[in-house]
Amino acid sequence: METSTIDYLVTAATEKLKSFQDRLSYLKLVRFPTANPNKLIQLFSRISELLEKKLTTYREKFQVSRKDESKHSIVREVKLLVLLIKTLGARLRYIEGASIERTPWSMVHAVQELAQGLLNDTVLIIRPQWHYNYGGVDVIEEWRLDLNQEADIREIFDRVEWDAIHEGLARRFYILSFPGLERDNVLLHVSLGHEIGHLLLSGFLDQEESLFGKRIRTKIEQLDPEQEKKIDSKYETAADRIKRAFQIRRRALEEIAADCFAISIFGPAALLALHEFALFARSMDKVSEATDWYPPWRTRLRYALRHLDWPTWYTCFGTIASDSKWTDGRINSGITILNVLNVHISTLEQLASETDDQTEIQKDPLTEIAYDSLDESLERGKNDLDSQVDQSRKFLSTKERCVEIFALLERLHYKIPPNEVLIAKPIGSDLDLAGRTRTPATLASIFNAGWFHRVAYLPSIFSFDRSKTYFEELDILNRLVLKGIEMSDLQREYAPYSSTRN
Amino acid sequence: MSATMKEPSSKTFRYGFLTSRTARLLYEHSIGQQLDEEEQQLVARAEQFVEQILNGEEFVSGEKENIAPGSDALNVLGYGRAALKVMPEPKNGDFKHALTDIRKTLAAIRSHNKNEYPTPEQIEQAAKFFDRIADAFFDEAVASSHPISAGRT
Repeated sequence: METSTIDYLVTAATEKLKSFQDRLSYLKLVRFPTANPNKLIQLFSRISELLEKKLTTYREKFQVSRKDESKHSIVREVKLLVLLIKTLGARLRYIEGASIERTPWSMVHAVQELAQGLLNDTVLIIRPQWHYNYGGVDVIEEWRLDLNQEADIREIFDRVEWDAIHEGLARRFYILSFPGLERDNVLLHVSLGHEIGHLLLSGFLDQEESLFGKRIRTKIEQLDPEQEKKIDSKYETAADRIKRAFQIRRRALEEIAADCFAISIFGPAALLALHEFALFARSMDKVSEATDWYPPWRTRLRYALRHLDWPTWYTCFGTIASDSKWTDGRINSGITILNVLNVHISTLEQLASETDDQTEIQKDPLTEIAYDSLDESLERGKNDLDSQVDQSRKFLSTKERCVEIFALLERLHYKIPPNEVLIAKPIGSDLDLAGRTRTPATLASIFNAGWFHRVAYLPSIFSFDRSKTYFEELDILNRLVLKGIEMSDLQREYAPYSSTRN
Repeated sequence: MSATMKEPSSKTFRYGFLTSRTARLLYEHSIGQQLDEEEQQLVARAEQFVEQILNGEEFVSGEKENIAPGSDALNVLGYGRAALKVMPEPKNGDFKHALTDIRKTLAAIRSHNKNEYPTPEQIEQAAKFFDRIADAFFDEAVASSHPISAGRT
């Protein structure tokens, strides 16, 4: 019997699905730091089972089709379905990468808990990527008709099918990626805060286009002939120009607002991580298509510094640092650490005070228009994000953070994991011998203590007799911070059990 | 630090399936045929899609003050314009007029309005419009799923 075109196509498509299912079976055997990757395996398994049924339905529809044009559409839809399977197949790398061997597993659960506390109905997975960047992707974004609407993939599955796929699972699966090269550089992973911010921003960004669309279009219409000449000739029509200005503006807003969000949750540590990333940028000032319209690093640092409000932190630290006096070592007081840190941040302020980035922005009329109303929007964006942070009630005040950070700095000075602080007032933890209570440290304070220690104790490899000593010290710091995060997370997670101890 | 990944976007799949399914429904449609509930919902979403293209057009021309979300309407506007440019025997050169005709055709089929029922040519025209756009979305999905890095592909 002759095999028809559709039979070949559906058979080949089904083979792809079977390969996808085989990979899922293998991934079930991998060990992960948390159960979240297994939940994504479950979601993908359910999707693949239903896609297999869809392929059979397409074949049946093809056989009863009356017109060649309809058959062409069915073939196109089967091919689109295969592309979708391939896309899902490529996303299996997120699960594979989330294994214990490839992640800084000590901190995965703690970051996951922090993010899931801020985001409703979300499963978070952390994995490395070989590309040197942090990133975030919503694995099932394509299934939703709109970010503001209920999860829906009507063009492929109907509501009943989708409900069956999602039963007992979270609505969103968000993958946070970190540069694989930096697996053990735990302090740089403060940048994951920026990626969490992206997840909270989508609604705000869509509103902004609506609010500022008219202003942007009017400014583009009113460009004078001299400015017209500066616009790249490929943006010929008004629609192309408006679209490009929207794109530049959206990218600037989302990156800067996400930076500010990271500052809100992680404080100075987020600024220090941002600067470490900016250090190796091709340019501090350029914004171009070649760099996907990312805002200039100088602009980002300026906004981050403004949002941090370092003078307030400095004053606050100043009231505590004088009480921190330690024996041994090159640095024996909190004041010394604070002074070194202040000099470092002053350098960043100097960097941000230069205006070369603004000159670059003004060179291109579309970029200038896109950046024109940024301040106004960012103020709204930051308020929107900060209100989400406040609502979660998971963060300490600046004063409480300062106290905690300096307590943890003392532990790091004596090479003790910075996992807990002893405080005078009981808040449900075990009483220690001196009558104070042991409280698991917050993730933000551990990161900050780690960064402060690094800035003060490890300014450069040239401050040591041998570079080997620098790297040994850095390794110790990374291990202590990772262990501190893991232990504080365990203390917090199992506190309900330990509180029942007699 | 980035929020993007190089893979076919969600919208490419969503609009690709939407336009392809709509084209198929219109090609198979017989005059006076009553649509079932699922088909009615599909046509309603196709109408929204055409509405979005119209919004983009009206915003760019200044007829409309604002659109939300703007970038999405401007993206589909590009697809709509490209599809109409290559349509066989366009009835007139007015882009907006052609889109309004397609939207009316869809609305009449969905509501089964016997008084304003479109002609077979109008239905064919609408089917071809969605067919062209579906091909463009399919091409985009294929192009964006190719590896970017060097090496054998």
